[in-house]
Amino acid sequence: MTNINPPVQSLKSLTIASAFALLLAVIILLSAVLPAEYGIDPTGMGKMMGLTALSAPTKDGNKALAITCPVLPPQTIKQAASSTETIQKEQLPQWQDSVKIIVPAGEGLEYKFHLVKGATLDYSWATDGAKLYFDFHGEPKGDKTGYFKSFKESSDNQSTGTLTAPFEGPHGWYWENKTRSPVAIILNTKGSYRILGLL
Amino acid sequence: MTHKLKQDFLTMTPTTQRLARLISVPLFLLLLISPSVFAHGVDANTERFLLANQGLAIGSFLYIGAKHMVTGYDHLLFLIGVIFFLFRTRDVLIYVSLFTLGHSLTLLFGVLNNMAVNPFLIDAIIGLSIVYKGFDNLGGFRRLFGFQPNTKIAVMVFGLFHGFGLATKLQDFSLPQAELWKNLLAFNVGVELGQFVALLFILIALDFWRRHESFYRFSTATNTLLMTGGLILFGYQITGYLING
Repeated sequence: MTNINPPVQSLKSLTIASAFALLLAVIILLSAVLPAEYGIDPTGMGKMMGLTALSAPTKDGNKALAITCPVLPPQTIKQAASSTETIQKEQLPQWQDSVKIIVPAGEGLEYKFHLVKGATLDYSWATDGAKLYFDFHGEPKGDKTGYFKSFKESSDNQSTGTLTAPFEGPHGWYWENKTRSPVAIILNTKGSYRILGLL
Repeated sequence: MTHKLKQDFLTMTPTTQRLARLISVPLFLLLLISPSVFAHGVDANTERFLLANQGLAIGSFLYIGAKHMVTGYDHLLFLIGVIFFLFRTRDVLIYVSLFTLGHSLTLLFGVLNNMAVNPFLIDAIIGLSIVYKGFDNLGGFRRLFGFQPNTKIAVMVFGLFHGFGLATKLQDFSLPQAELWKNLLAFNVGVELGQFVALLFILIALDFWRRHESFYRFSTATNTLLMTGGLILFGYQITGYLING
């Protein structure tokens, strides 16, 4: 009784079992797995059942992306707003950097800045409509424990404020897009920082 | 013969079952609770963590390893095949240890040496390992070739391939070199914890089923389906290799 040998099937039932396994595997592969995973649909069944849609959006247009945008230099704003200069200045802080970030559908990403202790970061970001879950946080430089301090955690389509760094290290946002299409964020910033960018 | 086996099995069942139940109830409750604890997107958080992590993080790597095993249907199908006809606790322990030894070796070796194995090909071989075990459980090798390939060596060798699969998954996350081996070890221990939890559930289900006549009546069908599952995984991965590899 040290080793239990499984029953040995007859050649006939072995052949039937193997042929059946192969047939079933091929049917499931061709009708469901390949259409859904790769968009390969030789039988047309995948399209009929709406499976090919699953494989379609993963190719392009769903990549995390950060594009640096030109920021209007202060002089331009001044000239353009000659008469209502003071009001304009209040409404439009003179941003140092502006970046457009694409958060892919169903994914999350981080965009960070390096700040020394006490440095300030003025920020304002808005999405092209959809609300994103976000966590604005900082990690102490050189920390190995995975600790991070959260400054603001919410779900919204915009956020504005000023951060004074409580410690030196990377500070920034984690955005998570729970919708089924990519969301673009425009992030404007001003302050004494070094851009670490998309992580 | 089957009757004798069953008798033998039933006499030892109560202890095994009681033990399994004792361990698994709290674990099961933990599994029920954890989704709400980690409610906001474990996957995204895992990825976020791995991308942002710079150093040692034992707990997190333990968890990622365990989760990978519990949710890794390819590893689980292979394990089901391996223990399907193992009626004795001792045999289960021996075979699972061999599998563990095999995949730990290649997991550690693969990551530490930065070995890049094509993930599609590795996963295709893992699919084939399931087909092999289903066929073996049908007595296919003894019927066709008149001899039984050493099942212990086979489990160990396929364990090596499963380990390369794990190594490839882990390397996808470009791990930081600082404290690499500690994180890796934590991941490996997590894998074994996850495997232990998954095995408990599989064993309890098999234990229960073996008390019924249907286990013996449907063992052929079950192993045929196991082969089907393996072939689907194989076809899925090979197609992926041809397209993207």
